[in-house]
Amino acid sequence: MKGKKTASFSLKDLKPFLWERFHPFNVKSFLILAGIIIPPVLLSGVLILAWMSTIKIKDVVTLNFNQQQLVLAQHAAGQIENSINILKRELSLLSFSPSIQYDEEVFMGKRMDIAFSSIKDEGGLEIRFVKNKDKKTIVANSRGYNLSNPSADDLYYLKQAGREENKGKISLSDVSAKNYKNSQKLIITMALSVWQISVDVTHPVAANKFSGVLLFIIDATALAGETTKNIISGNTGYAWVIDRNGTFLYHPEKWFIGKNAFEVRKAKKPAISFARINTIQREKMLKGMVGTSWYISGWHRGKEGEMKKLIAYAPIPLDNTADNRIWSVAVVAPISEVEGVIHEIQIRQFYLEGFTILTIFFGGLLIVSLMLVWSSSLQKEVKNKTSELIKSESQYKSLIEHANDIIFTVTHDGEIISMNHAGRTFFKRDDEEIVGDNIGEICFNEDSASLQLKAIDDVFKAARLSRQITYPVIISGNKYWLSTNFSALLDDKGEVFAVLGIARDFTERKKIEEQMSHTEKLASLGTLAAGVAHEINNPLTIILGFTDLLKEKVPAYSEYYEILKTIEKQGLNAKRVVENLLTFARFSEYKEENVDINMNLKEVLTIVGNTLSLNKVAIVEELSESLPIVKGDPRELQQVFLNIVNNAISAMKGGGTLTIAAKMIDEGGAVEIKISDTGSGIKKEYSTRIFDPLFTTKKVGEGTGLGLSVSYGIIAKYGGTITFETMTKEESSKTGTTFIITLPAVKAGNSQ
Amino acid sequence: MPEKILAVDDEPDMLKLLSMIIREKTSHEIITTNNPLEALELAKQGGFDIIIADLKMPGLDGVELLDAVRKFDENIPVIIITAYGTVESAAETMHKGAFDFITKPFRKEQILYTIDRASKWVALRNENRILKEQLKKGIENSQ
Repeated sequence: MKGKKTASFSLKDLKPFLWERFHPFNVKSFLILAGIIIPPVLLSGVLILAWMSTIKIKDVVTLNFNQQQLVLAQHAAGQIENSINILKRELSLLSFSPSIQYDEEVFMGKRMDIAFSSIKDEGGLEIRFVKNKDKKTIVANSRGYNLSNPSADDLYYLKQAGREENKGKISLSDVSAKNYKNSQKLIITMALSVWQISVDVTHPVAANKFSGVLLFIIDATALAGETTKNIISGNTGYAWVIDRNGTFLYHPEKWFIGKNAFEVRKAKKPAISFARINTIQREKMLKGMVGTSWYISGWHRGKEGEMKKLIAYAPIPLDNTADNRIWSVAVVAPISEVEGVIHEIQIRQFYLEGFTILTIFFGGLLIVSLMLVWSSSLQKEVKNKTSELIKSESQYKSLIEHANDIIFTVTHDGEIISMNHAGRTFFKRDDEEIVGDNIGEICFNEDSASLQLKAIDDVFKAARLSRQITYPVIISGNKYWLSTNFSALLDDKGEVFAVLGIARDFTERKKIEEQMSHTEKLASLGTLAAGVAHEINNPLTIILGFTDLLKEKVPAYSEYYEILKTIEKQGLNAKRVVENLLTFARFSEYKEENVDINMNLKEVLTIVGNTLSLNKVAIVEELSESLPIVKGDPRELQQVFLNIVNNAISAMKGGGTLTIAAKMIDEGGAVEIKISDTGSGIKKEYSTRIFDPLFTTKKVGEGTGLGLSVSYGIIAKYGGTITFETMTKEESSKTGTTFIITLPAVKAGNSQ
Repeated sequence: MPEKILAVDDEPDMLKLLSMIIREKTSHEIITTNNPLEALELAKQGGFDIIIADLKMPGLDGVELLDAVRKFDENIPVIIITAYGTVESAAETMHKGAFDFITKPFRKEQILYTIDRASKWVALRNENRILKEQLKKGIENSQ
């Protein structure tokens, strides 16, 4: 398990995950791309479909329209043909009239008048009968009938009719423009030879003689226009009729009537190519075909300009002769008529399409913008969270790095994942390389290592558990004590992924605690001893007292005297042991209160006054006035002073000077007490051990080795220090020891 | 000047020792009792210059005896002897007005020294009293 940083979990590890999942670029670009591509594609699709649909509708409507025009054209053609047939029938009927055949003048005129009334609606202008007998012509028209001289045409027809092959045949002339009653008209002449073939009462036997020729003078324009003038195709479409030469028999533009269609168009609009209509006329209409088509025109009902027109045409067969003469009716309308019809549909469709497209577009835009806003807010959120995470991580890192405690994380196997600065400094491994090392292998003895690994294992097994353990560590040969709390680090599933250890170096405290515990042990021992001591002291006093007295009563250096001296010596030994035991009798209980150091020092001096006098020790008091108050148990502090003074007295064999000084230091923050003697001083080899419990330089029975260690414990307990300076005769001519005690002063306003 | 000393301790042997030391080493007279209440009665009757009392005694301890004595005699030196040689008890008795505090076991020199000081103090006090009286008389005479 030497792989480094295996289980480290930081923001860096999160980034790819967040990037893939939340990075705004993908979403954004996708949305933008979709926003750019989809609407035009949809738009184009809809437009193409709409365009195709429009074309289709237009085609259908156009076809329908033209079919309707064709029906109109065929109807018109049928009507005209019908009129011609009526004319032919009337002509035939009239020719069978005996009054006509037999030249019965009076009845002839009346009969012709009757016939005229039948044909005038079909464009008939006049009925002429050119008599063969006297070459006179009877004319019947709107003004009645009369007899007149035959015209050149009359005579021409008479001559033609007289031929045997024309017998019974109705002939139709071509259309010709003629002046009729002072107006130019397109005239066709329908002719039928009249033979005396009918029989009646007057003529019981047919004469079979050629009688003359019967002529219908017909206004072609009226014939053709009677039906066609009423035809309106669409809104403005109209019909026109041409004869077999292409002459307009009827056209709504009066000016065109009588003109040749091929020529008149070119003459009117030379810039426009009329090839198509000319072709239609020539190839289709004049050949008697039925059909529909379109052509380019130059005008329409007064409007001029190039325009496309739809045309439907139907032939009007005039006779069944070899000439097969044909007229043709055309119904035309500008295609804009059709467009006009479909225009509204187109507009509606356009609005519908527009609305649909706009809905799709703006809907898409809305969705895209919403998604962009969402994406942007998500991005912002991720940014905020990331920033918070970084900040939080940095705060925690700073907190951990600057903590005084040793903070580390380890894997289940005890591999170090992280350790803060305090930890690296403590283990004297101030580098990152400590990461990956095993916590059980750095500066720990076997027991400490297994204790730690056990605690880590416990925490891994029970996530809610936290373990507090204390154990020693060895760094550079020195022993330190750590108190460590192990607790679990849980991942988002609530499983332990590492163990957090917070350790505190409590070596100093451990030392004091050990000392205190030791001291307390001794103190309780002392308490027990006190009772015993009291009981011993009384008999001891009596024994020593009487021994002393007896010593004076026996001769010196006698055998009894020596015995008494031995009793006295052993008694004194017992006395010292008891004295020392009594020193601890009162140590265990204490209470903290405000202490006046000067007063307590004076009290101690009062107590030891006699002893000092006995030992020829002079006292020098250097007690500063107005000392601050300190916190402590006065009895314990007196015990400390007494211990030091007693030691001083012991050190000054044969007398000396004891100096007791007290002054304020640290600007009133503490009190310093100096107790100096002019004794022999403390040997260097002892100076490091004098505060150790049970260490004594005194002879067996003279000292317990408890005084200074107890004193040290007491002063430390109240937050003070106790040190000493010493000079032995090897070091200086001026020997002696000074104990320096400092105790923190009670802050102003905090005194009770 | 020989003084009259009253010694009280619950231990008769201790009283015997004290009597022996004082009688042999000084010219002072000593009366002893192992009953502190009797000692108080004796003290009340007067005639004693110095009282030596044990600190721990059944019935009435040394400090209580001291308190009781102080009620009728403010000046008589009371020397407290104890087997509980603690700072606290020493400080307490000194506060209460004991002349001195001697812890057991003591050397005879120690008790003799203290008695000597007490004796001198008594002498001084008496001398002082006499001088005051003489002064008073002198003043009265001169008036």
